[in-house]
Amino acid sequence: MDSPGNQPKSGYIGPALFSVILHLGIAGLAFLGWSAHTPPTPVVPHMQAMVIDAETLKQMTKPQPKPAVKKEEPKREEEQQKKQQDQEKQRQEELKRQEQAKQEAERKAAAEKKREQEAIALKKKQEEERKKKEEEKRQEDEKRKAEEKKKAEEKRKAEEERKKKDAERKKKEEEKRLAEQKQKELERQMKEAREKKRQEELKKAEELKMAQEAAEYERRLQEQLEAESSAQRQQRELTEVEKYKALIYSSLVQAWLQPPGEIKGLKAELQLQLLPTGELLSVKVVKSSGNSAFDQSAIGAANAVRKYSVPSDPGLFNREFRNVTIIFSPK
Amino acid sequence: MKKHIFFTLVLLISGLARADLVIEIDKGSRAAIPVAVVPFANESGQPLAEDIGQIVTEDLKRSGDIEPLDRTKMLSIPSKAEEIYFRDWGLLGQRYLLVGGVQYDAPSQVYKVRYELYNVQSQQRVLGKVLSGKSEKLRDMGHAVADAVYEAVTGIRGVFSTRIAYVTLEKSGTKNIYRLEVADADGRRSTELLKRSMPIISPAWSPDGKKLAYVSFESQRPAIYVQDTITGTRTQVTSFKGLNSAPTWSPDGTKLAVTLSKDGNAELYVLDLRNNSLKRLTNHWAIDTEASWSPDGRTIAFTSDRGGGPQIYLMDASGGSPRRLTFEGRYNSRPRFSVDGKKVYYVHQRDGSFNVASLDLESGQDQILTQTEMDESPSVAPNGSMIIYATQKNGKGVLAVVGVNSGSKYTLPAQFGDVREPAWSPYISR
Repeated sequence: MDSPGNQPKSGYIGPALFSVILHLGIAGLAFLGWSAHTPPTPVVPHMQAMVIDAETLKQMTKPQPKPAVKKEEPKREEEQQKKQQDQEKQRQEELKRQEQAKQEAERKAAAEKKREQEAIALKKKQEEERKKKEEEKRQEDEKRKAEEKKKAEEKRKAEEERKKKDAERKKKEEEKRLAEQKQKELERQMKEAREKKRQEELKKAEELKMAQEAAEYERRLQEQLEAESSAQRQQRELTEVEKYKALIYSSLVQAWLQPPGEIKGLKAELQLQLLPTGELLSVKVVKSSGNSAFDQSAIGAANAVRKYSVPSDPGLFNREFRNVTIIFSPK
Repeated sequence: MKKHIFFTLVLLISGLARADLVIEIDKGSRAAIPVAVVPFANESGQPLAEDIGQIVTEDLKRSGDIEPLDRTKMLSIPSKAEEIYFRDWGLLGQRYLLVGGVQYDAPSQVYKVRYELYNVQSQQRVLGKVLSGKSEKLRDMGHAVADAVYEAVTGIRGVFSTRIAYVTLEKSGTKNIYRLEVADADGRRSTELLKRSMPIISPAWSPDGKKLAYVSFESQRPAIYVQDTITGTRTQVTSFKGLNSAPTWSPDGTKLAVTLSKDGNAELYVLDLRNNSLKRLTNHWAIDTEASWSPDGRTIAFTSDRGGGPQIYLMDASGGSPRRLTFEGRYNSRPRFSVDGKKVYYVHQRDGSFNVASLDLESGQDQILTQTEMDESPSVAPNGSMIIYATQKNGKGVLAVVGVNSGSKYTLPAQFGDVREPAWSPYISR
């Protein structure tokens, strides 16, 4: 695992190395440039010196035997000559030195210029590389951005597509739901109709049954009448009637929700038609109390009794309990 | 043989002609009558500002005579006949079923409220009607439906379209603000009739339901005023030296019974509003006040401490000697006749608490109707089935209603400040 501090360090290594190499390169070039120029430099003064030397040599070779002849003269002449030669030599040397200095300066200037040019070229190259890199980076960036944009666009399109599909799906579901609802409603209505029909049929069957039962009761009543003495029968029936009257009374008292307020003195007379099963076949107001709410409460009570207590003796039922008058008259 | 045939014939004829078995029912339950008020169908095509079914339900419930079925217990929400399963409602123990719907006619901006009431047991339609009006009439239509249902079920005219007057006291810093207000019988839609910094007391409705008599201390001492509730115009009818208080209207609306102390002591007077003539009714060193006219206008009940403490007395409206009516307890005051004139309601003190009580004039039997501690100012609804009174709740004056038949109680929605001195209006013809 690298520590974060290593990161910049390794980053410097490249440029540093590059710098060192670059310096070495420059130094190398300077050295090579200088040594390449060194041999011709002395050639020029040497050639001149050769020319001068040849003349000097001629002059030297000519008067050389003379000094031996003339003692004073040649010596002065020789001194003069030597002085002249020295001066010449000095001048030549000065010239040579000047020339060398000039050449040296030129060389240095050329080297400097070259180095500068190289540096500029390097810098330019670096600059170009940097620009190139930047350009590449920019292009890459652009490319990346374009890709991102493209991706975003694709995503957006996909999202839109999804939403559209969603909406379509929802719409379809809603339509389906509505259709189902409608279907259910239809089914419910049909069911209701069937139920109603069934109830009606039940009622018809009940009525038929009742008629049959009535016939049967009639027959049995006839048998009883034949079998029983009138006095006995009356006595038995009286007690039976009272018993069932009391039972009906108590169920109606329980079922009657009287309207509030003053109802004393109100009187409603209702006629009930009962079935041998104790069920209520019909109810009608035969005498109104004059107070509709009171009448309604009486009708409600008569209907609220689920099963009336009636004698099982068919004869007694037929005579006394098939039609019953109820008077609602609060005390 | 001939004889035998004849005998059989007689038997047969007598058998045929014989009357049905007769059973007389002289008793029944006096419990509240179960009525299912099905939420009204909104057929208007837009949201409704008022829930008609809810208004009807609350009205009926407040009466105590009807027990509306909790909506959550309903198995179905029918709005018309063909949607009703009577057996279901019968099994829920319901005696009546109210269904209906609200329609809207956009061009005329008129709402139509259709309703039908059924006797669940007999499956008969008892009521069926359509009301119409603009949006501000929706509440009125709701109350009208409640009135019709109440009357159909109980035989008693409904009072849900009537109004109540009362006084509120708002304390702001050291200042008191008294307001005389009029609202629907359910306490909603209140309007301010008068606003004063001095007390307003004893509002009393005129028999035609158009005017209110009351006492105002605005001129630093009590004076009696009569104000038209519709136009707002008012006149000062008495401003004698001393007490001017407790005005009540004669049943024909031509006179006011008032309490004045102009002759030195609080006495009852009758002020004829037609000619402003004044007739003195009582003459006693004790305080005589709080007169109430019997519905036939012949008798006046009032409070007097001539027996040592406040008790209720009765006297002829034309004068004469009073006779004491109440003997139970040491404090009985503020009498009001029942609508049928057979009872007197009043405030009775017992064990340190003040309650509304009733006394049957024929039998002398008394009955305590309320059980809270500081119940006062009973005022009877025009159908006699409910009494509104002032009481305290959480240290604040509120109005409550007690069902005369059922004894059920209902507190009206809280008002701003203290509420007191309720007065139930007569039927108002609109």
